[in-house]
Amino acid sequence: MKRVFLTFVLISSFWACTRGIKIPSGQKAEVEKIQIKPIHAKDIFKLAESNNAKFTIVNFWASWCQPCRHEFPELLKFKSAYLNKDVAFEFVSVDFEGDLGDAKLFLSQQGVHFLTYIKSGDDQSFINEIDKKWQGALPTTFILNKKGNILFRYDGPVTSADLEKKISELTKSEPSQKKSRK
Amino acid sequence: MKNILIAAAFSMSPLFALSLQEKMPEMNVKMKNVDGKELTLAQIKGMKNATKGTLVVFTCNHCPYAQAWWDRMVTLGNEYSKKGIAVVAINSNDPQEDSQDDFEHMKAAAIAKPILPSGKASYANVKMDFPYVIDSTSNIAKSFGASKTPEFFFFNNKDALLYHGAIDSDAHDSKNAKPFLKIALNDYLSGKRIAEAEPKALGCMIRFRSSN
Repeated sequence: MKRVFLTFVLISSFWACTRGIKIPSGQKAEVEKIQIKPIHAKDIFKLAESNNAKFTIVNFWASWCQPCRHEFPELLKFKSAYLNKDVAFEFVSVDFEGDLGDAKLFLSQQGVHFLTYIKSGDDQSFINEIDKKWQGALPTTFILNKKGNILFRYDGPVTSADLEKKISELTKSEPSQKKSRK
Repeated sequence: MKNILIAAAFSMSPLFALSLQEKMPEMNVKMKNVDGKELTLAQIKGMKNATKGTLVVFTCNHCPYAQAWWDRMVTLGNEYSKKGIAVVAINSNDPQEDSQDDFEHMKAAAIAKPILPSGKASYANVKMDFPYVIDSTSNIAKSFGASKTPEFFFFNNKDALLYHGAIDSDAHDSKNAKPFLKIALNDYLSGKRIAEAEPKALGCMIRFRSSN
C-alpha cells in the first residue's frame, strides 16, 4: 500500500513539475540534473556583491517567452567569452510556479550545467525591488556593478554586440575597485 | 532596494511609460477594429456616452500572461464600459513575430471563439463589448511608453493619466488576486483618490513592428 502511495506521489510530482510539456524520455536524466534555485530580488543584488567581478549581468527570462528563448544561446556565448574578463553572468527565470519543468527542460536543451535561479515572491514586490522603473516586460537584462547597483537596463532582447559595447563603455566610466574578499 | 545608478548613456533601450497626470497621446491616429471599421482614440472616447474616462489596454493573443488575464480583462472592460468609461484593447505586436497576433486571431478572441489549433479550450470565453484594434505601426504603444502585454492605462475625463499597470495581483489565481484596477476605477467613479495607481506585473515584451 505504501509503495502504491509513493508511486502515486512521485508520478503526481513529476506531472506537476512538467505542466504543459512532455519531457522526452531520453532527456529526463539530464533535466533532473539541472540546478535551479529560488531567489528573492534582494539576493540578486547580493550575488553581484559576492561574484567578485567588476560587472554582473542578470538576465530575466521565462520558458514561455519566445524572445527570451531566442536570445539565450547568444547570452551563453557571451557568458563563456567573458568568463575571465571580470564579468559574471546570472540567469533568473520568472517562470510560473507550475512551469519549473519547462524551465529545466529548456536549460537542459541549452546545455546549462551551472546554477541558475528562479524568481521567488510575488511579481509586484519582485519587480519593484529589482528596479522601480522596470515595468516587468520580458526579456530584460541588467548590468550591475560589484556593489549591486544597477548601471544599465535593457528592455527586450539583447545581443552579444550590445553587451560588449556597453561593458566597454562602462569599463571606461566605472572607477576600478579593489576586489573584495569572497 | 539598492541605490540605482542611472548611467549617463541610459537612453537607448529602456522604455519610459507616461507618468501619472500626463495627457493621452496619439488620439487622432486611425486603428482598425476587429469589425473592420477604423477608429481613433478620440472617437472611442466619444462612444456609448463614455464621458467619465478612458481605459486603454495594450494586449495581444500570443502572450501567456495576456491569455491568463484575458477573461478578467474582457469582463472588467465590459462592466466599466456600461458605467460611462470608454474601453479599448490595442494590439501593437507585429504578427510576423507570432501569427497568433494576427487580425484573424484578434477577431476570434474578441468574439470568444475557440481558436487554438491544438483543440485545447480557448483562453477567450467572454465576448468583448468594446473595440479591439490594431496599432499598425506600434507607434501608439511607443507614445504611451507601453512595453508589455497586458498593460493598462486609465485616463480621467480630461485625458489625464490616473492609473498605469496591472489589472490585478495574480495572473493565475483570479479568486485570491487583489483587483487593483477594479478598486482604482471604483474609487475614481465614487470621487475618491486612487490609492494604488501604479501596480506592476510581469508580462511579454511588445514586439514592435519595424518602422519601415
